[in-house]
Amino acid sequence: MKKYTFLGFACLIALMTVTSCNQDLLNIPQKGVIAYEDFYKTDEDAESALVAVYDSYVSLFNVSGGNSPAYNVFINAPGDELYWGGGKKEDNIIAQEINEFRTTFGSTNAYLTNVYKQMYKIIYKANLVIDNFWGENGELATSAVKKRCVAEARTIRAWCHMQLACYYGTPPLVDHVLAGDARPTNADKEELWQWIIKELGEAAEALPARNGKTDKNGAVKITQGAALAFQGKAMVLHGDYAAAKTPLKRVIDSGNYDLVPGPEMRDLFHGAGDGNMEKVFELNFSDLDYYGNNGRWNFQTNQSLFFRQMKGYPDLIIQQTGWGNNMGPTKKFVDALLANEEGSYRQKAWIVSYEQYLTEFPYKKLDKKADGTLMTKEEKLMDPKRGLDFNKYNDLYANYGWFFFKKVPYQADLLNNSSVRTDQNQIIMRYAEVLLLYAEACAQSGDSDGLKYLNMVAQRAGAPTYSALTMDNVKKEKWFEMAWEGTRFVDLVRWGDAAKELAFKGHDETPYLFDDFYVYGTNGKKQSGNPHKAVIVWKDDGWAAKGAGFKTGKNELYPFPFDVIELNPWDAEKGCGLKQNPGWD
Amino acid sequence: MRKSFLTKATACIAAALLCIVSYAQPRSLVGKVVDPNGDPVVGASVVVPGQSNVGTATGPDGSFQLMVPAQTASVTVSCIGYVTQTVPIAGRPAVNVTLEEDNEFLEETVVIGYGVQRKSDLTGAVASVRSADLEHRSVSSAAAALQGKAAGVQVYSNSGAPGETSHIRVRGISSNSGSGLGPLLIVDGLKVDNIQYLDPEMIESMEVLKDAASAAIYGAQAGNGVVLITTKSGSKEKDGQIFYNGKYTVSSLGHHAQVMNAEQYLDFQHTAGLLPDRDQVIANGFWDGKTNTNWADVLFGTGLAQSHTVGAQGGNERGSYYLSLNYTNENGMARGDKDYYKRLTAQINADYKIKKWITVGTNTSIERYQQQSLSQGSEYAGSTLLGALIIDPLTPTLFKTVDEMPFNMRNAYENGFTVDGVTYPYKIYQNEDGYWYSTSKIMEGDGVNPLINVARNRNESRGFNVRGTIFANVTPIKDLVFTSRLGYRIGQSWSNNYEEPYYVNPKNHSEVHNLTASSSQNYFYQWENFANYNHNFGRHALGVMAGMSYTFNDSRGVNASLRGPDILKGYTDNFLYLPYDNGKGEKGIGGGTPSNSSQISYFGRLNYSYDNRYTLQANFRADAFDSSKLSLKNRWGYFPSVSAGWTISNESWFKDNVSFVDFLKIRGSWGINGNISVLSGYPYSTSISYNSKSYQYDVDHGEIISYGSQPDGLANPDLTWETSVQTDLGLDLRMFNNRLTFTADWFNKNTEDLLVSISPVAEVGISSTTVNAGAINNTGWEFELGWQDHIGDFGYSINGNFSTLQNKVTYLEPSVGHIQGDHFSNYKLYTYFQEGYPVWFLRGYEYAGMNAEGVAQYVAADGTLTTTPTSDDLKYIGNTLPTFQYGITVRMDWKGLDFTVFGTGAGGNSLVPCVFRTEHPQINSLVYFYEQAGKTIPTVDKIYNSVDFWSSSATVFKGDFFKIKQIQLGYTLPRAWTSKVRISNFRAYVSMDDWFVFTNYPGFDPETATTGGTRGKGLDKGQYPNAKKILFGVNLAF
Repeated sequence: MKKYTFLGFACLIALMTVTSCNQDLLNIPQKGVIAYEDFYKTDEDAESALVAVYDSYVSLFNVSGGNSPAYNVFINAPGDELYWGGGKKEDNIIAQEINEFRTTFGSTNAYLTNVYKQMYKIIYKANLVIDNFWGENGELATSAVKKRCVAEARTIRAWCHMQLACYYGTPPLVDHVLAGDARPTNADKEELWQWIIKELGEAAEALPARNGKTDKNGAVKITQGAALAFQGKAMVLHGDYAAAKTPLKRVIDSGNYDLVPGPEMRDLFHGAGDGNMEKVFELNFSDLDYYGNNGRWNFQTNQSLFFRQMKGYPDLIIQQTGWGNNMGPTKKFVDALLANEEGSYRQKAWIVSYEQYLTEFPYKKLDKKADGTLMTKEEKLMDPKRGLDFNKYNDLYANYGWFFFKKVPYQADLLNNSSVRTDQNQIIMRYAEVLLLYAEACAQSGDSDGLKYLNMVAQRAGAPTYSALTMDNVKKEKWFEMAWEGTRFVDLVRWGDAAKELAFKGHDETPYLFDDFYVYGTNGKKQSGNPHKAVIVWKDDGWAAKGAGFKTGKNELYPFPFDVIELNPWDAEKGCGLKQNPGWD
Repeated sequence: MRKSFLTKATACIAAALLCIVSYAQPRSLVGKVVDPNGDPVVGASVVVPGQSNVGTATGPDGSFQLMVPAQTASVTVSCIGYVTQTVPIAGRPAVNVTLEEDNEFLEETVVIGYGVQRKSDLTGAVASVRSADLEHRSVSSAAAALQGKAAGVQVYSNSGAPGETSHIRVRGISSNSGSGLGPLLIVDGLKVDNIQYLDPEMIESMEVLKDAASAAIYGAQAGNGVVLITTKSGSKEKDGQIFYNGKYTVSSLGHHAQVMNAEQYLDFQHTAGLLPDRDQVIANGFWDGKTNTNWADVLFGTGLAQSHTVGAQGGNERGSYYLSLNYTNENGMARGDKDYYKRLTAQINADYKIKKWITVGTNTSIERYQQQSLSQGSEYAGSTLLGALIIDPLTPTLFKTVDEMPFNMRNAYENGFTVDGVTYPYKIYQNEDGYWYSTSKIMEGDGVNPLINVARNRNESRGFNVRGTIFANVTPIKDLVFTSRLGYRIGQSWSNNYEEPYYVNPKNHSEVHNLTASSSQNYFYQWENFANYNHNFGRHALGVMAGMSYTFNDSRGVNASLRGPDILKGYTDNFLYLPYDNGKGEKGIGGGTPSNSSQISYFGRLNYSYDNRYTLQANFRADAFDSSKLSLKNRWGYFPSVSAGWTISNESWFKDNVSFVDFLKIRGSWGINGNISVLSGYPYSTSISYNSKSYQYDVDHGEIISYGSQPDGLANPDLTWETSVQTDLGLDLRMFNNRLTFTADWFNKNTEDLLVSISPVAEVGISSTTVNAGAINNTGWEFELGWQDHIGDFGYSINGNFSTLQNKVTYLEPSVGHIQGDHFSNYKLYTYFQEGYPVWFLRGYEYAGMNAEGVAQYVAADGTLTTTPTSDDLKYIGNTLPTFQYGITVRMDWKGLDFTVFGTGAGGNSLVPCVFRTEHPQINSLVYFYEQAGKTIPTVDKIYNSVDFWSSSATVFKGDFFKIKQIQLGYTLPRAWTSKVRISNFRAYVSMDDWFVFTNYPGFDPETATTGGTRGKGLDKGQYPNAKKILFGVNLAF
């Protein structure tokens, strides 16, 4: 008995000792990562950290807000070029409410919130590069590669701040990686713009230039030309017109960029034009399998939405229906563009009428008649298989009989193996904008040098040229050229034209597109015997009466997102936290 | 109370071990000790009074032999569970003693950590639920069976879907974490990840260790309480018994969500200006003027479930066995066979005393399951349940012709979709008659005909698990038992999911086939060695326990996927597997990374009691966790606790004066626990996610891609576990010959170092990071009251429990301020975690009726009323945790008939039914908002687009409910009849479960609605409701 006792205890003690000594059993290395301390050292690490910035930058254009790619709504919805319809007036309300400055528009709008957050994610990634490879005074930038990576990161970081400053006025300036408990506060507007301009200027000097007009890859990463163009833009936006001429002129004189010929304007927003000579900077979307998930899913399905109620599609464009947006050009824009340059390269590339849409593009499925010959235009206009389908509604909400064709994705843009995701690049800066900025900088500072460049843009578009460099001419040309590219609203605000130019949103009725082919009111069930023809029915959508429309002193800026302010409200005692923009709380 | 043979025997053996062998001037005394049935009492102690060193214990046959001093007049025979007797022996060489069962004592033993204890000796708060409370319920999960049975134990069912796990919360919520709120689960000594696999019929008892002192022996894992489950073991009384229990359940939708019907919906939408008038709606082809679809009825029909258990058991002096096999097959009430749960469980329990000093045994459970479930709990289109709430009632269930389809669907049906120039068809789902499942012509959002989601559902998961322990109890010297126990779990699971290109509306469609399969394995083992030493001397009783444990967990899995517009060689059911890849799809692979965790612990307990009057207990545990949870410097944690009890009824002054009180004890405890389950995945560290990002610098899309790396978060090496300090005061009382039982407890639990997953401000650029930054207090009262008696042949009992819970965040680091939880749509109403309020309370505007113009007004921060509230006016508008809950069980029996009614309820919480969106106002909503419009709330046109209104208390409802969970009538055939056909017991019963619900909540089911993620508690996004069930069953034993 004693023997067992002894043995038992001996075993127990032995076991306990063995296990207790072996605390190594508790050390389990983490898989698939490397230690923070071992990173941010070499040139390769710098390149790698920079790729994370670009990756985050690309994501900005896929961030959704509900039904649509948020960034597209963010920069374009408040302008005067587009109606933002959904399938109907109660579809995709949160884009419509920005578009019409409705009373329901407020700080919870998800499009604004998500863009705001993504901007700071990009800034964080950029700060990781800058903090780790630049330091306080560049002491960590020990190689040419590191210096260049830092300069690229600084350029992107400054661009993000510039965009935020345009729409929020005083967004926090985040020039280093913040701690988790940071309580940032509104930037001083003046200091913020000075900082943006300075950053871009310093970065430009550390960046290589694009290697000539044919250097496609020089368009999809930050180059000296990109940084200078951004700097020039920042100066113009800030009102430093005379100073802006220098960086913009450097871009123009570099010889690395040029306008593509008028007939190629359509390609600017499609795969065929990726990396062409007009691209100062654009983000490269790729169709490689392991990258394909970053394809532009949201972006393109929603831009194509206005085709959702069309019977059949031209072969050129993708045939997917989408959800949420129906962006038709405004009557104001269409009338002005047609009056200026009907039939120009630009007009044809930018907008297409309902009848043109039905008759001027090949339709593989519809064009061939039973006898094998192709339909004539007249036959197409009498073809019941084309045109709007009114199965659901009598008419199409917020459409003036024209479609914005400028950025509609093509079949050719589709990723391999996908019916919805595309890989056309996202333009951030193109040469036409550089020329227009330069023209404005000259016009604003009384320098006639700008006229030549303004006319370059008009001439390429196939539009009438100008005899004088006036701000009116610059404004008109920029409106036409840069429509739906996110410059218009910011321009209107800084020119002081917003209240006037956006006034129609507060009192205009909304156009509904109806096809004369049918008897109105029959939901497309009864044909009229007339050819397809757009008829516009104006209806009051009721929002104007409820107080929709641009309000001076408020709508110049977006509200800071509700949950951002909620997390970090202004604390007068400590002097930290965010103040909401005027009129938004 | 019935006790199992084993429990009694164990207790007696333990008591006997306390005796010391006799030594002097002997004369021999032999005898036998039996119980009133004549069965031997094993391990009863036989002692000479006043000479506690002269004594022995009865053997397996109840006999004893003792050398007693010559002049001894009597011996005292005692055994736990029996009334102690003093038997005269003068002049008698042999005595036979019949011990009476001790009714006064209710000497139940309860399982505590690493040992058992007499209930009367408990100094902590332990709720004990016995097998009788668990039997004959329609639930297939042990956790669900616990609901309403124990005060202070909250059981939430996330969902009424087949096979869904219920969540146990002990004494409220003491963490802000989404997971890691449940108690530590121990089954027969084995730590398990869930108890879903346990058939309630296999359970002997469930003990919930509620207070810190009881749970402290489990240290860092016990901060949310501990549930100890003991499965049944073979009974000596039922030696050689073969049994069968069967039940058959029919379920159907119980409490309905009250959504608008066609007329109401039309009127609502028209008033809002969203639809034209009735005639125009019909002219537009949105409605046929007749259809009035109730989508809940479309989705839910009748569910059938059956459960069969066969088993055998037996036991003798040296060992026992219990074998059972249970088959459960539940097919939920949603139409179609896409929501089911099938489970086969075998339980094998056995022990054997192979030598005098060593007993070995095993408890093993083998489980195989198969499950398919419908999506739920989401505000997005994937949720099948959402469709049943929000689709307009104007839409018919089916389209009989293509002409009825809305344009988009028809277009998709006729033209399919084109990828790379090839056109493929969409699946437009049809019923067996070839009619198409409809889609709304009015709304194109997230409302998808639930039958489409049902038809589309091709997910399936299966698994196989073995869980068990092997143990040896060694008794090297008297009073000392050394236990070595190896526990293990081996699990395997597999799931397969297939989706095809389909079209419902512009938002809900897919152009790809998507086939995914995953398989995972895991194993876990724990090795525990501990020793119990119990010694009595005179009136002193001493118990010491010390031990250690080591656990290790390994899990890994692989998964693969195939997606694209054309991926397989064929698309009939027998081709829906990865090997039939046609080479055109995009392939994905994943998994294979081992995930390991381990833990080393040391623990000990000291018990001292004097004269059955004063009891003192102290526990201590030291825990160390692996590096995936804590940094090296914070690896160890130490958890002490103490408790004490005073059994007043054993004081002579009390005994002599208060005759109607049988038992009265007051007790108190204090201790510290931790909560480790909130930590996982190296939360304290920041690493670089290597090459996880990419960008291509090549416009022409050559093969060159550049990879990027970035940190995966913010580092916090100081991160440590959450710590709870809990005080408990309790009282146990039995009166009137034990007919009345009463227990009361008050507790106060402070949890500190709360792990707070904070969203840094947006400008930091990181979504979330984890810090120790908060404290929560939970306090409450718990009462259990029972009465049992009989009037002739009529026996009855009533047992009720009631508990309250006050939950409050007592600290949140000022720099954090508050944490936003969940919200819905674009509402400004969020759940919030903030100092001074209950966890995850509802924060919104306080609705204050209408002003003279009929416009909604709200209480502003300064107390005035406003129609245009600002964010400063957002405030507390509801608690999402029930503040009280109760359960009541009434049993009656008369001759062979038995009748049970069991009900449970909870209340004090608020719910927000998430079925209206200003973003998509054409979804259907609760009829409440229609009926009240213009009365207590503004007219529809004023609210349908008002984010402020929907963010206010006008959209918050009371979550109070009472449910009669069970009404059961059973009949046991007289033994005189059944014994003729060698049946020892035959009982048949019928039961109505979850039949009656009393609530004012207008959504589906306030019980399932109260859950979802902890942060989203209170936001009812459409969970699978609990069904009402009717149940037929038999119990048969040979």
